[in-house]
Amino acid sequence: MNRKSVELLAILVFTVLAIGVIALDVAFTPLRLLFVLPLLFVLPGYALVSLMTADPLAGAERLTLSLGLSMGLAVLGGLLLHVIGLGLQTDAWVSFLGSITLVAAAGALHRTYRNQAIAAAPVAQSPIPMRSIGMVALALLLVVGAYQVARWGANNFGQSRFTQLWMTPMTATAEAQTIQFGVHSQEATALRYRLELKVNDTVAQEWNDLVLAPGQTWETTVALPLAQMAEGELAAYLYREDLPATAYRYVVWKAK
Amino acid sequence: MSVAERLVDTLRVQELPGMNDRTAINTGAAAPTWVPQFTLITAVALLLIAIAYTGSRMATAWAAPLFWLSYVMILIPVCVRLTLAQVARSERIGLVVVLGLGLYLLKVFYSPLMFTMGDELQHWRTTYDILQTNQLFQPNAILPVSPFFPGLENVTTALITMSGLSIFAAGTLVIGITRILFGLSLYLFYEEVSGSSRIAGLSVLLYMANPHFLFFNSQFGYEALALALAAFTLYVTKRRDASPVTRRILVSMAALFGLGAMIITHHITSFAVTGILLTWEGLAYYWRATKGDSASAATTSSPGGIALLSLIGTLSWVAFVAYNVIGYLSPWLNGMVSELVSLLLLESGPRNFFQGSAGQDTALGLQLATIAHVVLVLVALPFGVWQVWRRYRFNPMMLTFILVAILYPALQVARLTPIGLAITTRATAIVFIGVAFVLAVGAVQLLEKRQERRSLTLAVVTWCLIIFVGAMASVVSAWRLPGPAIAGNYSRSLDMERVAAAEWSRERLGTENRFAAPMEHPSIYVLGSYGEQRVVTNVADKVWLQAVYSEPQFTDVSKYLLRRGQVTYLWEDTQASKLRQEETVQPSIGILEAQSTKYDTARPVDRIFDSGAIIIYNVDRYNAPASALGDNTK
Repeated sequence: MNRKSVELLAILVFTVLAIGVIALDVAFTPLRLLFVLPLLFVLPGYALVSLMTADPLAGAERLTLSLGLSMGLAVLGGLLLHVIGLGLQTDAWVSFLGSITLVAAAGALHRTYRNQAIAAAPVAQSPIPMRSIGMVALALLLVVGAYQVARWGANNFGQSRFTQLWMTPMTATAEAQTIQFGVHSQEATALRYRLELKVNDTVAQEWNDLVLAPGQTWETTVALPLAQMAEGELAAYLYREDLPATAYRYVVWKAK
Repeated sequence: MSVAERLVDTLRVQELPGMNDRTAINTGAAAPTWVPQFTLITAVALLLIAIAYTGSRMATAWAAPLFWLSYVMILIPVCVRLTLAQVARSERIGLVVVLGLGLYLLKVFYSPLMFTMGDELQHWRTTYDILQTNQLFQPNAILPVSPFFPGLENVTTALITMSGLSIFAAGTLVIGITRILFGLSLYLFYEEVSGSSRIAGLSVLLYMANPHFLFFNSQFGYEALALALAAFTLYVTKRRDASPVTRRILVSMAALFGLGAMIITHHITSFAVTGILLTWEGLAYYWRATKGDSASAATTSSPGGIALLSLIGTLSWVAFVAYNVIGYLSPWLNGMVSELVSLLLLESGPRNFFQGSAGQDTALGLQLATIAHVVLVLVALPFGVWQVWRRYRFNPMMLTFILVAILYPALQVARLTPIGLAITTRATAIVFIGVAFVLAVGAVQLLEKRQERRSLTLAVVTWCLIIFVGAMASVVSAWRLPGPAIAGNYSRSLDMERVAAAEWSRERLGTENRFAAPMEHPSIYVLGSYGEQRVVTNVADKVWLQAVYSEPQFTDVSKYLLRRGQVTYLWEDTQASKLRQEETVQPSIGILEAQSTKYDTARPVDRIFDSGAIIIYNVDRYNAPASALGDNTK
C-alpha cells in the first residue's frame, strides 16, 4: 500500500469519525472542532483534488486547492441545501460534506489501487526539524496567551459602567394598571440606590436601601388605580446614595 | 555600516543559491527557512500588541509607542526576506501566510469579546436569521442586500451548526481561514503570472500594505471571503492554461467553484473580477487576432469561457436573485458623482482628510506617514508600469494589471469627498491587486538591474516599511487602538452599555418591534443584531428618520415621520446626540446624571428605559388614528 492510499484511507476513517462525533452530538466543543474544521475547510476539497488528478502537487498548491474547493463547496452547498428544501441544518450539512468527501476519497482510492503500477512518484518531503516544530508550538502558545491578555483587557478596562432603569406597563384591569419597574446594575462595585415613584409630581412610593452588586437586578410591580393615572404623569427617579442631589436615571409614563 | 545594513547582511548570509527557481517547487529539495523564527517573532509582537491594547483601554501613554514598535517588529523581518533575491519559495509562502494571519490577529485582539463594527453586526443578523429558520434570504433591515449574498453566512452557519460555536467564535475562525486561502491564492496567482516567486512574495507583501486589508477586510464581512474566493478564482483560471490535460478538469472545476461561490458572496467583488477577466480575455483576443499563429503562449493565455461565465453568472444573480443590489449601490455612486461635481464647481470644499467620524484629529506624524504612503505608491507606480510595459506588454494578464493599477491615482481624487472615500476604500481592495504587482515588478527589476546592491535593497525594504506604516497611520486612531466608546465611531462606539440596552429591548419588549434609531454608529446595527429589532431605515423603508434626530426640536414633522415609519419605539443615544451638536465628543465610560432629551416634553411619548447613554421611548401612540391623539400629532 503506497503513501497516497494510506492518506486516502485516513481521510475516509477521519470523515466517518467526524460524522459520528457530530451525529452523536458530543458536547465537548474542542473535540467537535477537531473534526468539524477539517470536514468543512479541507477534506472535501482534498478528496476532490485526489479524485481529479493523480499528478503530484506541491504542498502549497494542494493546500490552496483543498481550501478553495472546500470553501466554494460550503458556499454553494448552502444554496443547494436551501433550494432542495433540506435547509441549512446540522444533518443536512453533515450529509452533504460527508458524502462528497467519502465518495471522492473512495473514488480516488479506487483509482490509486487501479493505477498503482503507473502511479506518479509522490512529492518528496523532507522531515521538519524538531527545532522548527518547537518554535511554531511556542509561537502558538504565545498567540493564545496574547489572546487571553486582549480578552482580559477588554473585560476589565475601558468598558462603560452603567445602571439601567426601566418601566414597562403590564396587565390592566378595569380598576388598575400594573406596571413593572426594574433596576439593573453594571457598575464597577456594589452601589446603594433610592427609587422614588411620583404620580403627578407627588411621591407615591419610595424604595430606599436598594443595594445592587454588579450584574444584579431588582424588580417590582406596582398596581396603580386607573383613576389616578387617567391624567398627568407617572415618573420614577433613581438616585445613587453617593450622588443624592441629582437623579441618576429616570423614566416617565404620560397619560396623554 | 548602519545597523539596518548589518541586519540585511546578516540575513543575506542565510540565502541558499538556486532556491529562487520555480523548478525547485517539486524537487523536494530541503531548504532551511526562517519561517519558524519569524512566526515566533510575530507571536512575541502580537503579545506586545495585546499588552498595548490593554494599555490603550487603560488610557496609558505607553500604549501607542508599544503598538507601533510591535507592528514594525512584525514587518521588518518579512519585508527584508521577501525583498531578497535568493530565498526559498516555501519560505516566501510561509512568510506571506504568517504575515496575513498576524495582521488579522490585530483586529481579533482589538475586539476579542464580540463583533463591534457595523458591517459585522449586519452579517451577524443575517447569520442569526439563517440559524433561526434554516433558510436563506430572510429579510435584514440593517443591510437588505446581505441575505441575497449569503456566501459568508453559509460557511459560518455550517461551522456553527456542526460545532456548536457562537456566531462570534465561528465568524472569527472563518475569516481567519479565509486569510490563509487569500494569502496562498494571491501568492500562487502572482507567481503563475510572473513566473517568479520573488515578485509573487513581494506583490503579496505590498498588497497587504493597503489600509483596507488591515482592518476593514479583517472584519466579519462578505467582502473578506469574496476577496479570497476572487484570488482563488484568478489563480486557478490562470493555472488552467498551463495545466496538463490530466489536471485541466480539476482546475476548471476549481475555477467554476471559486467563481460561483464568489458571485453569491459579494456584489462589488464579483463585478470587479468579471471586469478583470473580461479585460484579460479582450486583450488576449486582440493579440490572437493581430498576431495569429505567431502569438506566444503567454500572449494567448486567457481565461476563455471563465470570463463569459463570470459575466453571465454575475448578471443572472443580480437579475434573478439579488436585484435589490442596484437600489443599494446606486445612491452611493450617485452621491459620489454629485459630490465630485460639486467639488469641481467649487460649490463645496474637500473633506477633512485627517478627522475621524467622531471628530477626532490625527497627530501630525501620522498625517505625514499617511501622505508618505500615498506619495510613495504614486511615485513608484509609473516606474513599475513602465517596467511591466517594457518587458511584458505582450502578456494580456500583465496589461490587465497595468490597467487596474492606473485606477489608483483616479481613486485618490474620489477620496476628496466623504462618499467617495467610502467607495474608494472598498475599491482599493481590488485595485491594489494590480498596484501591488506593478510595484513589485518595478522593485525587483530595479534590484536586479543594480546587481542587488545592498544599499538599494535597504532602500526597497525601507520603502515597503513606510508604505506599511503609512497604511496603518491612515487608519483612524480609534480603529488602531481600542478604548472607551466614542459615539459615532465605526469600530469603537459599541460598548457593553449599548449591547445591554439592545438585549434589554429584546428580552423585555420582544423581537421585531419597529424601532427608530439614529444613523450614527452603532445604534441601528446593535438594535438590528443583538437586539433583534426591526429597525426602520431609509434603505428598507424609504423613511428618512434621521430628520427626527437632527432637528433641534421634536416637531410635527418628526411625529409625521414616526407615524409614517410605523415606529413603536425610539432609541436615543445621548452621546450621538451630543456629537451632532458639538461635532466632537470625548469618550466616556459612565454617565453620572440622567440625560434629558427633546422627547421628554413630547406627548404622548413615554420614557421607558434609561441607562445613561441610551434612552428608549415608546412612541406607539402616534400610530393610533389621528382623532384619538388630538391635534398635536398631525
